[in-house]
Amino acid sequence: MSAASLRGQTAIVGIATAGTGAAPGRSAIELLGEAALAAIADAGLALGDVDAIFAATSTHAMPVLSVAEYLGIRPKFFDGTNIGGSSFEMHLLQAALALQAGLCDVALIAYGSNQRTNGGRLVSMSEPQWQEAPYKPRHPITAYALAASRHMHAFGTTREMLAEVAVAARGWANLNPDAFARGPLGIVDVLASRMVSDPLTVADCCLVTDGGAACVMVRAERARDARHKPAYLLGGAGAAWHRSISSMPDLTITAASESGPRAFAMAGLLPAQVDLLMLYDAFTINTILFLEDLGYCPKGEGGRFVQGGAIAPGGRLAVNTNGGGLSCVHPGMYGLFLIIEAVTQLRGAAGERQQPRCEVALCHGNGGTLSSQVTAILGSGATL
Amino acid sequence: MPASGGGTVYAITVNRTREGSYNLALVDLDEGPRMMSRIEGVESVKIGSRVQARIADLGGEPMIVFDPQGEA
Repeated sequence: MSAASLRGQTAIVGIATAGTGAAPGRSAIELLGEAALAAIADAGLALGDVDAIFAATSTHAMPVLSVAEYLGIRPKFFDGTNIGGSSFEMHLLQAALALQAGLCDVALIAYGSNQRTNGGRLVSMSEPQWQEAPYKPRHPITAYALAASRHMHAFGTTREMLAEVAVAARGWANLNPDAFARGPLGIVDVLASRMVSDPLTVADCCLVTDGGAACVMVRAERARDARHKPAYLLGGAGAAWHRSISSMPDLTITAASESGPRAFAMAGLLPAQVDLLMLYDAFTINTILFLEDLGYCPKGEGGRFVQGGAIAPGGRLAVNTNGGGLSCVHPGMYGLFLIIEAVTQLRGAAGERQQPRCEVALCHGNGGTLSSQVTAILGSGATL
Repeated sequence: MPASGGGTVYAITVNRTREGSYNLALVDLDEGPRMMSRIEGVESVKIGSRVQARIADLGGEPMIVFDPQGEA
C-alpha cells in the first residue's frame, strides 16, 4: 500500500471562521465553537453528524475533550496532536486516514483563540527550552531572527527582500475585506518600523489577532453531495527535525524540503502545477525559506525571488492571497487559516482577490521554531 | 567531550526591549556542538566571528557566555 492511495479519497466540504481580528469579550472556545457550527452548516450537515474531532489550541491542555463537551458531541475518533501552528495540516492527514479506514464519517478540525483582546500578545503553551532559557530568548521571534541572520549571511538576503514579503502580504490584504491590517505599506515603511529582534522589525512579524476557524472533512463519495465544491486532499506530509532552534541542523534549510517533496509525490504533482501557495508566514523570513524548500527557487534565492512584487497581487506567483499571518489574521496558531483561504480560492469564492485559475492549492504549515513542517495539497474536482 | 572554549558565531540577533537590548547567538564550538549563548561586551558581532567561552553570572546563575576574539 502506498501513500498515494490517500490521494483524492477525502475532501473538505465545510469551512468557516469566527471573530477574526478583534473579538472583545469572547473566549477561545466560543470562537472555536462558532466557527465549528458555521463550518458544519456550510457543509450542509448537522452537528449530530460529526463523529470525529481534531483540535489543538494555545490554551487547552486537552482540546479534543473541551471541544466535544462544548459542542455537546460524543466523538468516536479524535486527535489532539499539537506540533504548533502546523497542527491543522497534520490533522488533515490524520482525518483522512481515519475517514478512509472507516473509523469515522464526518471529521471536524477546529481552532480558536482570543489572544489579542485577552492580553494583546502571543499566547503559547510552549515550555522554555532548558538549554536556551537562561539567555532569555524571546519566544518565538529570537529563533526566526537567528534564521534570518544566517540566511542574510549565507546568501546575501537583505532587509529590503524581507520587507518585500510584508509588502506583498499587505497588497493581498488590501483586496480582502476580512483582513485585519489594511492600508498602504511600502518597503520603506517596513524598514522604518520598530526593530524587535534584528533583522526583524515589528512589520516583519505576524499579527496578534483573535479568531476561530473550522473545517469539515468527509470521504470523497459523500463530498459529491456537498453544498459547495469539495476541496480534495491530494497530498499531505509532515517532517520534524528539531524542537529548539539551537538543535536545528542548518537554519537556512527547513524540514519543508522533506515534507514538500513527499506531499507532491502523493499528489502526483510538480511545484509548477500549483495555482496558489499558502505559506505559514509567522515572520517574513518564513515565506522566503518555504519558497526555496518547496522547490519554487534554488536554495538561497528566495529573497531575490520575491523582489519586484513577484508574490504580490499581479505578480508571477500567487502567495498568501488572504494577506497571510502578516496582514490578515494570526491568532497564535494560524495553520487552519491557510486551509480556509485555499478552499475559498478552490471554490472560486475569494471575491476581488480570486485567482482566475485555481485548481490546485498548497498549504504549508510551520510550527514551533521552524520545527514542524507539514505540507497539504488540495485540489478541485478537476484534479481527480 | 573536553571543550577548548573556542567557537565561531553561527547566527546572531539583538533583542530590543523596553528594558534594553541584548544579543543572543548560536555558537558552533570548535569540537562540533552548537549552543545558544550571548556575546558579551558588544552589541553584536559579525557571523563567522571567533569567540571564546567563559563562565559568567547571569541573573545569579553561572552560565557560559562568550567574548569576541580579535576583530569583531
